[in-house]
Amino acid sequence: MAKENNQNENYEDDIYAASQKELIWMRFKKHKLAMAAGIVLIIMYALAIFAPFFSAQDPHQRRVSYKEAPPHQLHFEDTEGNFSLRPMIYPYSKEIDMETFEDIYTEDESKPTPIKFFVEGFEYEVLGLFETDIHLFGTGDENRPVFIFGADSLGRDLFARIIYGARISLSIGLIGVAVSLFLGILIGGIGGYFGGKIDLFIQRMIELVRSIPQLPLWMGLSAALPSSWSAIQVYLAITIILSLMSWTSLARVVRGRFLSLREEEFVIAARLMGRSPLEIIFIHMLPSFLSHIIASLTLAIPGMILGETALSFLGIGLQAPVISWGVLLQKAQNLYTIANAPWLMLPGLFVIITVLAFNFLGDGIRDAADPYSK
Amino acid sequence: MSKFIMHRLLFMVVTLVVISILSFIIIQLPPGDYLTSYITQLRSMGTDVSDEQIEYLREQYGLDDPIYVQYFKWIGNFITGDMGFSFSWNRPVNELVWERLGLTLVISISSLLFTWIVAFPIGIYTALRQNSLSDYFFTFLSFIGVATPNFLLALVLMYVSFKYFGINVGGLFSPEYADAAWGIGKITDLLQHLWIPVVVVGTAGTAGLVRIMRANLLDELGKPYVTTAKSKGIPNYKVILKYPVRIALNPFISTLGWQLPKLISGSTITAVVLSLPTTGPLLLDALKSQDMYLAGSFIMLLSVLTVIGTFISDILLALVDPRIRYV
Amino acid sequence: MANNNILEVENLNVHFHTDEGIVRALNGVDFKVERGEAVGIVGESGCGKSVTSTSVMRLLPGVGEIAAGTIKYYDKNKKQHDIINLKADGEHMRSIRGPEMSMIFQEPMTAFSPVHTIGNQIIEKLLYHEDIDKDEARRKALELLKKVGISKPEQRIDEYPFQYSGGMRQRAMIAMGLACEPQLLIADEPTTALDVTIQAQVLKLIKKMQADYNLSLILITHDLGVIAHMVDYVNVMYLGRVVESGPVEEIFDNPAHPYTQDLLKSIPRMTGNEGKLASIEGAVPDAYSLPKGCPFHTRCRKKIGEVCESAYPERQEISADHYVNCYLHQDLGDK
Repeated sequence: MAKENNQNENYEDDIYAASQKELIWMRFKKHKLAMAAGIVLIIMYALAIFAPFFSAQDPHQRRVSYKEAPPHQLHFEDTEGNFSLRPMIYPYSKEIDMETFEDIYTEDESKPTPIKFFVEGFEYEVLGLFETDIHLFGTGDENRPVFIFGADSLGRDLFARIIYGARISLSIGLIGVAVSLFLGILIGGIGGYFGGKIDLFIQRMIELVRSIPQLPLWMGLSAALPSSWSAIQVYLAITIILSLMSWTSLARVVRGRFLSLREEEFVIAARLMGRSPLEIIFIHMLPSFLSHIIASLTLAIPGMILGETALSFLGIGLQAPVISWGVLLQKAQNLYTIANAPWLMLPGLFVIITVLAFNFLGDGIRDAADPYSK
Repeated sequence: MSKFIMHRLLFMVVTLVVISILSFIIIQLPPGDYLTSYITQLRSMGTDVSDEQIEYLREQYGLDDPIYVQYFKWIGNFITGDMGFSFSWNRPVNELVWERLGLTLVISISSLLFTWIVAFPIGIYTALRQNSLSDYFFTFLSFIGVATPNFLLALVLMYVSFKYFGINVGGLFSPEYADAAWGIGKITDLLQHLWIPVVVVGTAGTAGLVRIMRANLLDELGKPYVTTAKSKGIPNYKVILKYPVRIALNPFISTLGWQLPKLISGSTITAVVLSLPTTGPLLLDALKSQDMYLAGSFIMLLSVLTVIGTFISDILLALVDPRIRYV
Repeated sequence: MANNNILEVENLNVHFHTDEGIVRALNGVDFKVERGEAVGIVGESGCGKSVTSTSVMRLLPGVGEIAAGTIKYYDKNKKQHDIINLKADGEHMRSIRGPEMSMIFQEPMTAFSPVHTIGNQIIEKLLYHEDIDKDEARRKALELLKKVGISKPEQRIDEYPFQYSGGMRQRAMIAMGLACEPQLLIADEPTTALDVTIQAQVLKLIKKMQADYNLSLILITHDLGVIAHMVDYVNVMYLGRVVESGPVEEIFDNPAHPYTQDLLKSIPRMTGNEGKLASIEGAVPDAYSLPKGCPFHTRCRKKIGEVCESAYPERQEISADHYVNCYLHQDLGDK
C-alpha cells in the first residue's frame, strides 16, 4: 500500500507541474511503438540526406559484368576456416548457362575481398558544401564492387539506388504535405470559422473532392504533363497533383476543430476583448489543436509516398534517370524479372517500413495530443 | 426521408458536372489537339488522310469551336453513349469500355464484400479481446496491410504462387476461356482467378476497417446503454451484437463513400500488374499514348461509378441510423 | 424466524483494478431490504452508492471485482439465491436480473440505445423472459407506457429516444424497469439529470408504481430532500461504508454520525435562520489511499482524537433499528 502511495504522489506532482508540451512529450514517450517509429524515420532520413556517404558505389554507374547480380554474401570465415571479425565478400565471375542462356554468378573464392570502413570511393559533395570521397563502407577497389542488395538489370548497385531514391520519395511526402497543409488550413479554416452557408459550401466541396477516385485522376493529370519538362518541373508538378487530393482530410480536421472552438469560452472572451479574427485564429485557436494538425500531417505523408510510388511504377510519374522507389519498382513489374532477381522488390520493403513508421508515429502523436483520451 | 434523398441526388448531379469538367480538362491538356497527333500517326504509318476526312472529323468533334462548345458537344455525346473514338485502337470508345467496365465492377464489388466479411468479425473479436495476443497479432497484420502498396502485394503474391506453386496467376481467365462465351465454365474459371485481385485490392481496405471497427466498438462497449441492456437480463453476446455492434456498424456504411474510390483506384493498379482485362490497363495505355478521348471517358466513367456508390452509401447510412434521417 | 427480507448484503468489498492502482470502492457494506420496503442509500459522489447497486445486479465492469462479502436475494417464491457465487452472465443470474430485480438509471438519454425504438427496447425484455408472442408483448408494452403516464402510447412506442423529452425518457425507463413485474426496483439517481419540476413528477410516479406493483425499492441519491418523502429506511454511506442507518424519521430527527449531521445541516432551507450556507469542510480523500481508521476523521468536527485514526469503529445499535459506526457512540449499546 505504501509503495502505491509514493508512486502516485510523484506521478501526480509531475503532471501538475508540467506544461502542455511536456505533457504531450510524456504521453508520447509511453507509446513505445511511436518512439521506435520515430527513430526508424530519423535513420531513414539520415540515410537519404547523406546517401552518398552510405553508398559503396555510384548509383548511376553501370557494370555489364554484374547485370542482375544477386546480393553479395558476407563471409566471416575464409576458405581455410580462419575467422575474422571483418566481413569479406568474393567477387562474382559470370558464366552463361548454355541451355537457358541465363547468367550464372558464382563466387570467385580465389579473390577474398575484405570490406573496409571509411574507405575511399567515388567523389561527391556533402550538402553542397565540400567535396570528399569517403564512404561508410566499401572494398576500396574500383573493380571489385560490393552489392549488398544485388544489382539491377544494368549492373547498378541496388542499395545505393535505394538510398538515393529515398531522397526523392521521402521529400515528396514532406513537400506535398506542406501544400496540403496550406490548402487544408485555408479551406477548412474558412468553413469552420465562418460557419453557416459558407461552411455548407466548403463541406460540399470537400465531399466532392473526396468522392473522385484518386488514382485515375492522378494518372490523368500526370500523363498530361508535357514530356519536355525537366525532371525538377515534373517532380514539383507530381507533388502538387498528389496534394491536390490529399488536403481534404486535413481540411475536415481543421474545420471540425474550428467549428467547435468557436463556441469555446476562451474564443468568445478573445472576441470580447476586441481581437481581430486573424489574431483569434492564429493566436488563440490554432495552438490548441496544433498537435492534431501535426498528427494529421504525419498520417497524410504515407498517402503521398504511396501515390508517387504508384505513379512512377506505372511509368507516368517520375522517369529515369531520376531515382525514386517507384521508378526502381518499375523494373520489378513482370513475373520474369521477379522470378530471376527477386531482390529487385526490395525498394518495396523500404516503402512499407517508411509508411508503417509514419503511421505509428502519427498515431502516437495523435494519442499523446488528445487530452480527452485516456 | 425523401427530402434527404432529393438533397443527395442534387449533390450527386453537381459532383458529376464538376467531374465532367475535370475530365474534359484532362482531355484537353496535352498540347495540340489529338486530331493533329492522330493525323501525324496515320501519316507515319503510311496512310493518307484526305482533307475532307479531316474536315469531317473536325466538325464531328467541334475542334474549331470555342472550348465551351466543345465541352457541351462532348458531354452531350457522352450522355447519349457516344464516348468518342479511340485512335490507338481504332474503335469507338463505347465498345472498349463496356467490355472492361463490367469486370471492373465485379472486382470492386467482390473486394468490397471481401473487406466486409473479413474485417467485421476480426474487428469485433479484437475489440472484445482487447490487449490479448490475438489482438496484437491482428493489429500488427492490419498495420502491414495498410502500409503495403497494392501493386507490391500483387507482385509478391504472383511471385509466391509462381515459385512455390508453379501457378501463373496473371489475367482473369485461363487461355482457353479468354474468348469463350459466357457459361458456367467461364464463370468458374473467373472465380478461380478472381481471388488474387480481390485479396490484393481488399487487403488495404480490410486493414483500415478492422481498426475503425475495433475503435468504434471499444467506444460503444463502455456506454450506458450497454449496461441498461444487460440489466434486462439479456445474455452478453446478444446484447453486444444487438446494440454496440449495430452502432459500430455505421462506419462500415458511411465509409462506403470513400472506400469505393479507393477500391476502384486499387483495382486499377492491381489490374496493371496482373494484366487483367479491366479498365486499369486500358486507361494506362490510353494515357501513355495520349489517346485522350479514351482516357477522359474512362476517368469520367470511373468517377460516375464512385459517385453513384457514394450516393448509395448515403442512403444506406440514413436507413441504418435514424438520427440522420430526422435531422 | 420468518425472514421478510428480500435482499441481504453483508460485508461487501468491491475493488477496481486500474492502471494507477487498486481502488477500494466498497469496504464492508451492510444493508438489507425488506419485502415491500423502500430503502434509501445516501452519500456524496464517490462514496460507492452506485457501485453497491451495480454489484447487487452483478453488472460490474471488467475491472471490478467483488473481493469479499455476501449478497443474498430472496425471490418471489422466497427461495434464496447466493448472488456472489453466480456467474455474472450465467443463466441463473440472468433469470434474476430482469424478471426479479431491475434498475433504472440516471441519464435516460444515454441509457437507451439511440438507434432502436423505445418500444423495441421494452418489448425485448418482455420477449426474452416471458413466454409470449410479439403481439402480446407489444400490448403489454403499450400498457406499461400508459401506466407511466406517457400520452399517445400507440404513436410513442415506435419512436426513438431522441424524439422524447427528458422527463418522458425517464418515464419510459421506469416502464422498462417495471416490465416482467420485478420484485425489486433499484433507482440509481433517477432524478439527478432532470429539471426540478420534472423531478417531482418522476418521484411521484415511482412512489405510485411501488404501491401498484407492490415493489421493494432501493433509491440511491445524494439529495437528502428527495429521500425524505420516498423511503422508509435510510443508509448513509461514506467512502465505501455504511456509516449510519435507520428509519427515515430517526435519521432526520436524531442523526447520530457527524457526517449525517453535516449533510442535514448543509441542505439549504427556505425558512429559518439566514446566514452562511453550511458545508462540510475538506474534500473526500483520494480513493487510492484511504485514511486509516474511521474514513471521516479527516473532516470530522467532532473527532475525538487518536482513537478515530486507529481502526474502523464497530457498528452500534443506538435505538430501535438505528445503527451507527462512530466512536462517539461506542459507550452506548451493550457494554
